[in-house]
Amino acid sequence: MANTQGTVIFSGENPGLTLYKPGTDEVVAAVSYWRSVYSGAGDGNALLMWIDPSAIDAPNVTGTTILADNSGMARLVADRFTGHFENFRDRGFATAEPQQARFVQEGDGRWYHRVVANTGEDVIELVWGEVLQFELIQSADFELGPSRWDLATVICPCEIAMITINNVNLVGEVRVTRADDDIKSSAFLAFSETWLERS
Amino acid sequence: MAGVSMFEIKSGVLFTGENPGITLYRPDSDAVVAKVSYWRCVYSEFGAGNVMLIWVDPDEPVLDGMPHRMLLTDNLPLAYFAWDTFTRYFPEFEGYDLSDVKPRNARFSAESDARWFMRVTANTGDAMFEAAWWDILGYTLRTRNAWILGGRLMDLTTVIGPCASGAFRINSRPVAGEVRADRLKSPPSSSAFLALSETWTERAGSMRE
Repeated sequence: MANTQGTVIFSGENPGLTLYKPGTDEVVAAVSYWRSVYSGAGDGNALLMWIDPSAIDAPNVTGTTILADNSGMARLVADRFTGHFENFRDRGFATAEPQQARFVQEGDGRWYHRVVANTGEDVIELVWGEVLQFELIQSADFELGPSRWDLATVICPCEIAMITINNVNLVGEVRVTRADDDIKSSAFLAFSETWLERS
Repeated sequence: MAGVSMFEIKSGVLFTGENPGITLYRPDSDAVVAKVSYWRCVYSEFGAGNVMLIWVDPDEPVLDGMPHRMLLTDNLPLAYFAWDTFTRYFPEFEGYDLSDVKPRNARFSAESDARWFMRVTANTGDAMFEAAWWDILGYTLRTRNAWILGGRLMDLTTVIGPCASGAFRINSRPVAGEVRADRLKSPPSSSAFLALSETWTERAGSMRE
């Protein structure tokens, strides 16, 4: 087997979900969920969310929020990855303090994936469904933030997704585009994702 | 993402998840006393789930009358898939055939901090099987392209973490074997290894055996 030169910074899963206000291009929620099976800060779960405060009455978890059961891992993914992603830049993730939460996730990658984060005061549920495609994406030597990376990940765009906060559904819609065999969705699963920092 | 210099998309995803393994040797000999291949699947055409493939030296006293070859799973089709499509063709399982073994249901539990350890248990209701890995010697992202398994042309991407230590226990009693690791190789290698974020894809036009 060929070895790729560099340092493995993160390996695990990283589904994402962006919801739009119906009939507009206005983002009402942008969510990046990280399940680490290996990182320099250990294993665990982190949920990085920006939710439009006017979209739902949940003051503890709207705006910019980081929930985690491993604050060091949450800080790592916020600083090195999500804080540089489109829809997450300039949302204040660099300074947001992770809040402790308990996580449960379950799924069958063919059909759906479900993550629940419980802070003790608020419960956030994310559901991805109707998985449209499974593709291994391998990107080599690209720039994100101050580093250059290799990335391997299995991307699975989804037709539907939802966010509930304290059992109240956040109103928003997923955007799916199809061009020939190329399907993109603002809601996607990302399994077996590995970020390798180039030496 | 700015500055992408290489970008590849592979369809035909067969499996994605984790696939750590352990081979234990009798101390001071090259005799194998146990082989374990654990599959944690997050996506396959047969769904998600867990599979533990086990071969133990039939003379090992910890078996205590149990079969020395076992397939434990919480998803029966996935167990057949993991053995028939992948493990039976792995070099480390050559001569350790499990093709006639009927999978048994088990409840799985896994916990880890992959900086330090991973532990997986499979509980069948009448016995408990535990595989453990620790003393991790580092991680490398590895790829192997155009690997022919059972006449199918596959590509593999995985993060390998060789471990200096590992164990396999049945009902809390360890199989009397040791891991063989080479710390001086670059990267290090070991008969006990974690394999995280592992994805197998099949190339279009590949023929099934």
